[in-house]
Amino acid sequence: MSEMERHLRVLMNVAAGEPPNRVNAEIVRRRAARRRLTAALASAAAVALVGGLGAVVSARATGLGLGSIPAGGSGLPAGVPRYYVESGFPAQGHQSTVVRATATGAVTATIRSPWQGGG
Amino acid sequence: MHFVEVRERALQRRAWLLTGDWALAEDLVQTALVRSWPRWERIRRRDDPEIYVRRVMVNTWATWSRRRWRAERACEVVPDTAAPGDVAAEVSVRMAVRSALESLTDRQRAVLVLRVFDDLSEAQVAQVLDCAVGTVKSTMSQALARLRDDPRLGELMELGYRRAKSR
Repeated sequence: MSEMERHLRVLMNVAAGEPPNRVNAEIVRRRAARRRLTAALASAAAVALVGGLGAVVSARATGLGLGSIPAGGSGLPAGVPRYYVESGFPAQGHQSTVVRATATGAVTATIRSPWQGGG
Repeated sequence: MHFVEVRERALQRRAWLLTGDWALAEDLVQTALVRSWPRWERIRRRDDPEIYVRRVMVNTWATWSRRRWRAERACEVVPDTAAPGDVAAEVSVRMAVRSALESLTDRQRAVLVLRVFDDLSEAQVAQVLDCAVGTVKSTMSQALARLRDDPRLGELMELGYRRAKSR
């Protein structure tokens, strides 16, 4: 050790002086336990997060969970049908079953029964 | 943990030389011991605990000094309060040493503290810092060259700091 290093050592010893507080084993033990608990909670949270994400992704992939979407559909409800079928007993020679437009109520088609001998 | 009871003062003093602040030094020692705690049995069987804790301290401090916002320093007591007795000489040495150490890089400071304050051999310092002996030698020589240029430290060394020597 050189002369300078020896001087430095003396100066460092004086400068470092006495620590104002003591570090005891109990504090260290408590901090170590807290650290272990935090690490365990963090890993549990990470596992839960990964599991949750996996469930969401697989539900999306299989079409379950978030409401099934018909193939080729827009994903929205169908709404009011554009046509409806009206059926009743034959009266006054009118055809009993017709297809009407929902918006106007106009007859757009008639359905003839093969058993009534209608043409 | 017997090691803590026996070595905590020395560890804190070393930590102060690394950090320049007692609150940080205490935190650094606690953190180093907390990190060593789970592996303590293995450390005791396979390694020298002192070397292991030193290594953890130096590495932790290197990480902190990279990450921490250091414009504000945490301290337990309000600074600038009157101290009992005449501590002017000690304070002046402390300030000179602290400012000289602050002028060094973290690596240079670690090498200097381990080599000079802890009186470790170059090989032991290399073991603690996980580097080559040649690196320790060159870092030490750079650190000493920089300290040689420090006027306040130079003055103190020239005086030989009689008070400390007379103890």
